Amino acid sequence: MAFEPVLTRNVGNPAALTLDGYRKGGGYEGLAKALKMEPDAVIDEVKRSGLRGRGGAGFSAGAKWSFIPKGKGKPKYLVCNADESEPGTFKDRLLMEKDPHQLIEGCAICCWAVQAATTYVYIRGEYTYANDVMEEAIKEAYQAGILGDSVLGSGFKLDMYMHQGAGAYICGEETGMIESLEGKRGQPRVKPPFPAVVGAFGAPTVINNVETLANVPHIVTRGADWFKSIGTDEKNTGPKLYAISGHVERPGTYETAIGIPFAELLDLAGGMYRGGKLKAYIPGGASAAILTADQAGLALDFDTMIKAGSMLGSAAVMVMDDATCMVRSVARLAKFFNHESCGQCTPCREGTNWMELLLDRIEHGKGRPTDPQLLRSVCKNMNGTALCALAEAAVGPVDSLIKRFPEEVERHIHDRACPFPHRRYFENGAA
Amino acid sequence: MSDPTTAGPGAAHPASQGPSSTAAVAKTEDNGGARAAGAAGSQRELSAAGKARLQELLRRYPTREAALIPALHVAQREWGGWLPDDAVAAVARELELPAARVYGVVTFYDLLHQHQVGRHRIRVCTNLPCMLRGSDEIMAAVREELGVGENEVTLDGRCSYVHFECLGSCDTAPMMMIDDTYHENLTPERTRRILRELD
Repeated sequence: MAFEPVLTRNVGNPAALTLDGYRKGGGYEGLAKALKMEPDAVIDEVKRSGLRGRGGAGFSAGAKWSFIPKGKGKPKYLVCNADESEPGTFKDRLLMEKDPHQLIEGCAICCWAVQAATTYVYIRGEYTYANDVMEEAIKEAYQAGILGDSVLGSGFKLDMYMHQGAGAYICGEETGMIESLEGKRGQPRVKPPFPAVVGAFGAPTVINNVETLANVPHIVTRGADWFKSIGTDEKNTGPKLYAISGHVERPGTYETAIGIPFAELLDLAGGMYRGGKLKAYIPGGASAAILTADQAGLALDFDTMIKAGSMLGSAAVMVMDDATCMVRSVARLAKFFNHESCGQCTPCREGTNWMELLLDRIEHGKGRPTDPQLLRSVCKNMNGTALCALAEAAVGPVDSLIKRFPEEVERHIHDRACPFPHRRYFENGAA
Repeated sequence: MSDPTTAGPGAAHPASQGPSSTAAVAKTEDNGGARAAGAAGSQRELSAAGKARLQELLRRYPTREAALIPALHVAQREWGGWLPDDAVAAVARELELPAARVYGVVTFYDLLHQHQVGRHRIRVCTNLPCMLRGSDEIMAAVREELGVGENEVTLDGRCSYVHFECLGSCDTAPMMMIDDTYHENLTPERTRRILRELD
């Protein structure tokens, strides 16, 4: 049976950018329905659906909401994580640019469920167009009484604001994001306390990814059972966006049931770039361990990826053909993590620096025979020794390079040069 | 002599406001005219429109400090794409924050610039997905076309460029961002043409 798009059903329907157009397709019916339910019943429905966070960690969204203390004593916040900075990820931008009201509706339902009166959509500063589209949709929602003093006439008060970041990967980390929202350097906090207890401005705060929240209106409208009927099993449910890039013919965002095997996704994306042969793929953004061609049959869901020693992460799938140098590829990711480490924890600040240095010298023929061992030791010293997950994220690709491509690393060191010829993608300046 | 347009970043940051900031202004003047825009000694303020925007932003948050990054975006637009010391001082005054706090934030974020940039700011994505589709050649085309190094400003003040981390447009790789606009599916040839057509 062909998969019917859920989250991307309005991509290709520019009318949905306006409130009227969005409503014609059933928009805001989920919010109307939720407002007639008890907030706890909404949380239960989302919990029962099995929806897991689409930002990377894969934590149960309903469970996260249920951690928010009840009662009206303190203000509560929803921070929508639209900082999408994981290399290879571009799905949230699509959702905001093509269907902004779907996200606003998801945010509003979440706020009703946890009784939060304010949403901040923390969007990365580079996404200026998505920000404009969202601002416009929020304005329209206020004018129509969907946001403001009485959401759809229910008496529930809700404000929503866009908040533009300023270029820092670490602000995608929950507590780094809160610090940044509060006007500080985006350095993650010690946990506990978790944001559900002490979050933005000292108040209980839910932080959910754009795609996670975009699922919510559909869960409320069509029910948890419908949501659970999609996917691999009880723990991997619902529709999923896969952002596929690199050496494929048609890179792009593809929506399927969660758990599509990589090989099938590759087919959807038109197969390998210029007829090349698959060498490796990264299934979940720069932080995920690299998988090899013989693992192409694996289902792209949370648990299958963990079992394979990688992770689904943000489902940013990067594909590499057999003319790709893995050392150079991982060296580029190491450079990224070194640049983005916030510098707060010593193992991460120093470790990411060493990773870049070592991989760079191996790639450039200056590697020493002891370097693989040194890299292993750097990885070991970074695992579990920092406040946030960035250090472990940096370990993901490096560790898998040493484990899965040891001969390629050795050959760089032995030959004192990169064995791959310099690759040109363009002839005479044209494609 | 080094390129005079690549600014003198050596000036010490004023740790506090008040009398000491005058000295800091004088010091920046020594480092090149570009940093001393506006009348020496006077404190340049955000424009009236900028201040109005800031008031609007302040209503969104329970603390003044939370408006800092949005305020820096406003100031950066007013100061021509970067944040010289007087821009930082102006924001610090508006938000009643020590200038050191503002500098702490400015130095943390890639989109906030402490040093002079070109009238057009070019960011070439070179992270893995773009690298796998030829961003090296795009970077080389930019370097050849502009004739300056990364983080330097062309002599006419028109452009500056940097390699950048993933800009979330991997399906249209290779790509670059010029000011607020994404340019996608680049070839070296198209890259050169886009750069030549900038005003």
